[in-house]
Amino acid sequence: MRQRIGQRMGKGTQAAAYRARVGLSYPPGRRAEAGEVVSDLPQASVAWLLAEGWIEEEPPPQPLPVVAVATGEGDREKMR
Amino acid sequence: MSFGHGTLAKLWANGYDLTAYLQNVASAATVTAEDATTLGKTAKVALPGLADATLNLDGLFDGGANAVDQVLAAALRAAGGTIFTWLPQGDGFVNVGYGLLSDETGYNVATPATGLAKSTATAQSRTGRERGLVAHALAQRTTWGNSSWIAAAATSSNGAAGYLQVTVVTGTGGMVRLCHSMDNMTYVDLITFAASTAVEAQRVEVSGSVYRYVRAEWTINTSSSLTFQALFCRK
Repeated sequence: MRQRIGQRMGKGTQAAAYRARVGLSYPPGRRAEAGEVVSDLPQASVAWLLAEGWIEEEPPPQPLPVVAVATGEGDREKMR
Repeated sequence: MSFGHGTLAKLWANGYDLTAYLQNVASAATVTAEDATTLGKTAKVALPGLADATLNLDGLFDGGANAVDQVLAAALRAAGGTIFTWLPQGDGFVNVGYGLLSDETGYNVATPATGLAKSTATAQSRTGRERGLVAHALAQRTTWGNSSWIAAAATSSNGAAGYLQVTVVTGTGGMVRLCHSMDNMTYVDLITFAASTAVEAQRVEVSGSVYRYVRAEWTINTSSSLTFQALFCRK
Protein backbone atom coordinates (compact mmCIF):
# COMPACT_ATOMS: atom_id res chain seq x y z
CA MET A 1 0.00 0.00 0.00
CA ARG A 2 1.35 3.37 -0.96
CA GLN A 3 1.76 5.82 1.87
CA ARG A 4 2.44 9.47 1.45
CA ILE A 5 4.32 11.49 4.00
CA GLY A 6 4.40 15.18 3.23
CA GLN A 7 4.92 18.44 4.93
CA ARG A 8 2.27 21.09 4.72
CA MET A 9 2.99 23.28 1.73
CA GLY A 10 1.87 26.82 0.93
CA LYS A 11 -0.99 27.43 -1.43
CA GLY A 12 -0.06 26.53 -4.99
CA THR A 13 3.22 24.84 -3.99
CA GLN A 14 3.83 21.23 -5.10
CA ALA A 15 6.69 19.39 -3.35
CA ALA A 16 8.60 16.89 -5.49
CA ALA A 17 7.81 13.33 -4.48
CA TYR A 18 10.21 10.42 -4.44
CA ARG A 19 9.77 6.72 -3.90
CA ALA A 20 12.27 5.23 -1.48
CA ARG A 21 13.95 2.09 -2.82
CA VAL A 22 15.54 1.35 0.55
CA GLY A 23 14.87 2.40 4.12
CA LEU A 24 15.75 6.07 4.70
CA SER A 25 16.09 8.19 7.81
CA TYR A 26 16.26 11.96 7.66
CA PRO A 27 15.62 15.00 9.79
CA PRO A 28 13.62 15.86 11.68
CA GLY A 29 13.30 12.30 12.99
CA ARG A 30 11.61 10.95 9.85
CA ARG A 31 11.74 7.38 8.59
CA ALA A 32 10.61 6.03 5.22
CA GLU A 33 10.57 2.34 4.44
CA ALA A 34 11.32 0.93 0.99
CA GLY A 35 8.37 1.57 -1.29
CA GLU A 36 7.07 4.62 0.53
CA VAL A 37 6.58 7.88 -1.37
CA VAL A 38 7.90 10.94 0.42
CA SER A 39 7.97 14.62 -0.40
CA ASP A 40 9.91 16.03 2.52
CA LEU A 41 13.44 14.76 1.87
CA PRO A 42 16.19 17.27 2.63
CA GLN A 43 16.85 19.10 -0.63
CA ALA A 44 20.60 18.76 -0.14
CA SER A 45 20.34 14.95 -0.09
CA VAL A 46 18.12 14.45 -3.12
CA ALA A 47 20.90 14.66 -5.70
CA TRP A 48 23.08 11.93 -4.24
CA LEU A 49 20.14 9.73 -3.33
CA LEU A 50 18.95 9.88 -6.96
CA ALA A 51 22.45 9.37 -8.34
CA GLU A 52 23.03 6.32 -6.15
CA GLY A 53 19.62 4.87 -7.00
CA TRP A 54 18.21 4.96 -3.48
CA ILE A 55 15.17 7.00 -4.53
CA GLU A 56 13.30 7.50 -7.78
CA GLU A 57 11.18 10.40 -8.87
CA GLU A 58 7.49 9.83 -8.46
CA PRO A 59 5.28 11.42 -11.15
CA PRO A 60 3.01 14.12 -9.77
CA PRO A 61 -0.59 13.01 -9.21
CA GLN A 62 -2.86 13.64 -12.23
CA PRO A 63 -5.62 16.21 -11.65
CA LEU A 64 -9.04 14.62 -11.42
CA PRO A 65 -11.14 15.03 -14.60
CA VAL A 66 -13.98 17.52 -14.31
CA VAL A 67 -17.30 15.78 -14.75
CA ALA A 68 -20.55 17.69 -15.14
CA VAL A 69 -23.32 16.23 -13.07
CA ALA A 70 -26.96 17.01 -13.78
CA THR A 71 -28.88 17.62 -10.59
CA GLY A 72 -32.16 19.00 -11.91
CA GLU A 73 -34.26 19.88 -14.96
CA GLY A 74 -32.57 23.23 -15.38
CA ASP A 75 -29.13 21.67 -15.24
CA ARG A 76 -30.06 19.12 -17.89
CA GLU A 77 -31.10 21.97 -20.14
CA LYS A 78 -27.76 23.72 -19.63
CA MET A 79 -25.85 20.56 -20.48
CA ARG A 80 -27.54 20.11 -23.87
CA MET B 1 47.97 7.60 21.91
CA SER B 2 45.42 5.86 24.01
CA PHE B 3 46.70 3.05 26.22
CA GLY B 4 44.36 0.98 28.28
CA HIS B 5 44.67 -1.67 30.95
CA GLY B 6 43.54 -5.15 30.05
CA THR B 7 40.94 -5.13 32.77
CA LEU B 8 38.92 -2.66 30.69
CA ALA B 9 38.27 -5.36 28.10
CA LYS B 10 34.81 -6.77 27.51
CA LEU B 11 33.66 -9.88 25.70
CA TRP B 12 30.24 -11.13 24.64
CA ALA B 13 29.38 -14.50 23.16
CA ASN B 14 25.99 -15.01 21.50
CA GLY B 15 24.48 -12.18 23.54
CA TYR B 16 25.92 -13.26 26.90
CA ASP B 17 28.39 -11.04 28.67
CA LEU B 18 31.31 -13.25 29.77
CA THR B 19 33.47 -10.36 30.97
CA ALA B 20 32.96 -11.06 34.66
CA TYR B 21 34.14 -14.67 34.31
CA LEU B 22 37.27 -14.14 32.22
CA GLN B 23 40.83 -13.48 33.34
CA ASN B 24 42.46 -13.38 29.94
CA VAL B 25 41.37 -13.06 26.31
CA ALA B 26 43.84 -13.51 23.48
CA SER B 27 43.42 -13.64 19.75
CA ALA B 28 45.83 -14.38 16.93
CA ALA B 29 45.11 -13.23 13.39
CA THR B 30 47.18 -14.46 10.47
CA VAL B 31 47.20 -14.56 6.70
CA THR B 32 48.70 -17.51 4.89
CA ALA B 33 51.76 -16.83 2.79
CA GLU B 34 51.48 -18.75 -0.47
CA ASP B 35 54.80 -19.59 -2.07
CA ALA B 36 55.11 -17.84 -5.44
CA THR B 37 58.82 -18.34 -5.91
CA THR B 38 59.79 -19.08 -9.50
CA LEU B 39 63.01 -19.89 -11.33
CA GLY B 40 65.42 -17.03 -11.55
CA LYS B 41 64.55 -15.55 -8.17
CA THR B 42 67.24 -15.02 -5.57
CA ALA B 43 64.84 -14.93 -2.64
CA LYS B 44 61.54 -16.54 -1.75
CA VAL B 45 58.42 -14.74 -2.89
CA ALA B 46 55.13 -15.12 -1.07
CA LEU B 47 51.65 -13.85 -1.82
CA PRO B 48 49.11 -13.29 0.93
CA GLY B 49 46.31 -15.85 0.97
CA LEU B 50 43.50 -16.64 3.37
CA ALA B 51 42.83 -14.78 6.59
CA ASP B 52 42.67 -16.82 9.77
CA ALA B 53 41.99 -16.02 13.41
CA THR B 54 41.62 -17.80 16.72
CA LEU B 55 40.31 -16.71 20.09
CA ASN B 56 41.45 -18.07 23.44
CA LEU B 57 39.54 -17.51 26.64
CA ASP B 58 40.77 -18.20 30.18
CA GLY B 59 38.63 -17.65 33.22
CA LEU B 60 36.89 -18.96 36.28
CA PHE B 61 34.26 -21.69 36.20
CA ASP B 62 30.66 -20.83 37.02
CA GLY B 63 27.93 -23.39 36.44
CA GLY B 64 25.01 -21.04 37.14
CA ALA B 65 22.20 -20.20 34.74
CA ASN B 66 23.44 -18.15 31.77
CA ALA B 67 26.95 -18.17 33.28
CA VAL B 68 30.18 -19.03 31.51
CA ASP B 69 29.87 -22.82 31.62
CA GLN B 70 26.37 -22.84 30.12
CA VAL B 71 27.37 -20.49 27.33
CA LEU B 72 30.69 -22.11 26.39
CA ALA B 73 29.40 -25.68 26.71
CA ALA B 74 26.53 -24.89 24.34
CA ALA B 75 28.88 -23.13 21.93
CA LEU B 76 31.02 -26.25 21.56
CA ARG B 77 28.50 -27.91 19.24
CA ALA B 78 26.63 -24.86 17.90
CA ALA B 79 25.91 -25.55 14.23
CA GLY B 80 25.60 -21.88 13.37
CA GLY B 81 28.85 -21.02 15.11
CA THR B 82 29.38 -18.61 17.96
CA ILE B 83 29.49 -14.85 17.52
CA PHE B 84 32.04 -13.09 19.70
CA THR B 85 32.49 -9.36 20.19
CA TRP B 86 35.70 -8.43 21.98
CA LEU B 87 36.47 -4.88 23.03
CA PRO B 88 40.10 -4.62 24.27
CA GLN B 89 39.63 -1.09 25.65
CA GLY B 90 36.08 -1.34 26.87
CA ASP B 91 32.64 -0.57 25.55
CA GLY B 92 32.54 3.09 24.57
CA PHE B 93 31.23 4.75 21.42
CA VAL B 94 33.85 4.46 18.60
CA ASN B 95 36.11 2.30 20.75
CA VAL B 96 37.96 -0.33 18.76
CA GLY B 97 36.58 -3.84 18.84
CA TYR B 98 36.93 -7.20 17.12
CA GLY B 99 34.21 -9.47 15.86
CA LEU B 100 34.54 -13.17 15.13
CA LEU B 101 31.99 -15.59 13.77
CA SER B 102 33.66 -18.76 14.92
CA ASP B 103 33.43 -22.38 15.85
CA GLU B 104 34.40 -23.25 19.37
CA THR B 105 36.96 -26.00 19.00
CA GLY B 106 37.73 -26.66 22.64
CA TYR B 107 36.21 -26.11 26.05
CA ASN B 108 38.14 -27.27 29.10
CA VAL B 109 37.20 -27.24 32.75
CA ALA B 110 39.83 -27.77 35.44
CA THR B 111 39.39 -28.19 39.19
CA PRO B 112 42.84 -28.15 40.80
CA ALA B 113 42.95 -29.18 44.44
CA THR B 114 44.89 -26.06 45.31
CA GLY B 115 42.96 -23.41 43.40
CA LEU B 116 39.74 -22.19 41.85
CA ALA B 117 37.86 -24.15 39.22
CA LYS B 118 38.75 -22.80 35.79
CA SER B 119 37.26 -22.67 32.32
CA THR B 120 39.24 -22.30 29.12
CA ALA B 121 37.97 -22.23 25.56
CA THR B 122 39.39 -21.90 22.07
CA ALA B 123 37.55 -20.81 18.95
CA GLN B 124 38.43 -20.90 15.27
CA SER B 125 36.98 -18.04 13.24
CA ARG B 126 35.15 -18.52 9.95
CA THR B 127 35.56 -14.85 9.00
CA GLY B 128 39.03 -13.92 10.16
CA ARG B 129 39.20 -11.30 12.87
CA GLU B 130 37.18 -8.28 11.84
CA ARG B 131 38.24 -4.97 13.29
CA GLY B 132 35.63 -2.31 13.84
CA LEU B 133 34.34 0.53 15.94
CA VAL B 134 31.59 0.54 18.52
CA ALA B 135 28.53 2.07 16.85
CA HIS B 136 26.34 1.57 19.90
CA ALA B 137 27.66 0.86 23.37
CA LEU B 138 25.55 -1.51 25.45
CA ALA B 139 22.37 0.29 26.50
CA GLN B 140 18.68 -0.35 26.81
CA ARG B 141 16.45 1.31 24.20
CA THR B 142 12.69 1.63 24.48
CA THR B 143 11.85 3.92 21.55
CA TRP B 144 13.00 4.61 17.98
CA GLY B 145 16.33 6.37 17.80
CA ASN B 146 19.84 6.59 16.42
CA SER B 147 23.40 6.86 17.66
CA SER B 148 25.88 9.58 16.88
CA TRP B 149 27.86 9.06 13.70
CA ILE B 150 31.16 7.39 12.89
CA ALA B 151 33.02 9.30 10.18
CA ALA B 152 35.60 7.84 7.81
CA ALA B 153 37.76 9.93 5.52
CA ALA B 154 35.74 8.97 2.45
CA THR B 155 33.47 6.37 0.90
CA SER B 156 35.02 2.90 0.85
CA SER B 157 34.28 0.12 -1.61
CA ASN B 158 34.97 -3.19 0.12
CA GLY B 159 31.76 -3.63 2.05
CA ALA B 160 31.35 -4.02 5.79
CA ALA B 161 30.31 -6.38 8.54
CA GLY B 162 28.13 -5.63 11.52
CA TYR B 163 28.01 -7.45 14.84
CA LEU B 164 25.02 -7.22 17.15
CA GLN B 165 24.89 -8.53 20.70
CA VAL B 166 21.43 -8.46 22.25
CA THR B 167 21.67 -9.09 25.98
CA VAL B 168 18.14 -8.36 27.23
CA VAL B 169 14.76 -8.31 25.46
CA THR B 170 11.45 -7.30 26.97
CA GLY B 171 8.08 -7.55 25.26
CA THR B 172 8.45 -8.35 21.58
CA GLY B 173 11.83 -6.63 21.16
CA GLY B 174 12.74 -4.66 18.08
CA MET B 175 15.18 -4.25 15.24
CA VAL B 176 18.63 -2.70 14.82
CA ARG B 177 20.18 -1.31 11.64
CA LEU B 178 23.53 0.18 10.66
CA CYS B 179 22.96 3.01 8.20
CA HIS B 180 25.31 5.09 6.07
CA SER B 181 25.23 8.54 4.54
CA MET B 182 27.13 10.78 2.16
CA ASP B 183 26.08 14.02 3.84
CA ASN B 184 25.41 13.07 7.48
CA MET B 185 21.84 14.23 6.93
CA THR B 186 19.92 11.50 5.17
CA TYR B 187 20.89 7.95 6.08
CA VAL B 188 20.32 4.84 3.96
CA ASP B 189 19.99 1.35 5.43
CA LEU B 190 23.27 -0.53 5.05
CA ILE B 191 23.07 -3.51 7.41
CA THR B 192 19.67 -4.61 8.68
CA PHE B 193 19.79 -7.16 11.44
CA ALA B 194 16.87 -9.55 11.78
CA ALA B 195 14.28 -8.54 14.36
CA SER B 196 15.45 -9.50 17.86
CA THR B 197 13.00 -11.24 20.15
CA ALA B 198 15.44 -12.99 22.51
CA VAL B 199 19.00 -12.90 23.77
CA GLU B 200 21.18 -13.51 20.71
CA ALA B 201 23.99 -12.30 18.50
CA GLN B 202 24.05 -11.64 14.77
CA ARG B 203 26.69 -10.97 12.16
CA VAL B 204 25.64 -9.47 8.84
CA GLU B 205 28.01 -8.74 5.96
CA VAL B 206 27.42 -6.52 2.94
CA SER B 207 29.52 -5.82 -0.15
CA GLY B 208 30.02 -2.67 -2.18
CA SER B 209 30.20 0.98 -1.26
CA VAL B 210 30.03 2.21 2.30
CA TYR B 211 29.61 5.94 2.58
CA ARG B 212 31.63 8.19 4.82
CA TYR B 213 29.17 8.46 7.72
CA VAL B 214 27.75 5.46 9.58
CA ARG B 215 25.41 5.27 12.56
CA ALA B 216 23.25 2.77 14.39
CA GLU B 217 19.48 3.06 14.32
CA TRP B 218 16.88 1.05 16.16
CA THR B 219 13.15 0.50 16.06
CA ILE B 220 11.56 -0.82 19.23
CA ASN B 221 8.14 -2.44 19.30
CA THR B 222 5.38 -0.99 21.50
CA SER B 223 5.83 -1.64 25.23
CA SER B 224 9.13 -3.43 24.53
CA SER B 225 12.85 -2.84 24.89
CA LEU B 226 16.18 -4.05 23.57
CA THR B 227 19.48 -3.92 25.40
CA PHE B 228 22.15 -4.26 22.75
CA GLN B 229 25.69 -3.51 21.62
CA ALA B 230 26.66 -2.96 17.97
CA LEU B 231 30.05 -3.09 16.30
CA PHE B 232 30.64 -1.75 12.79
CA CYS B 233 33.54 -3.17 10.75
CA ARG B 234 34.39 -1.28 7.56
CA LYS B 235 36.45 -3.40 5.17
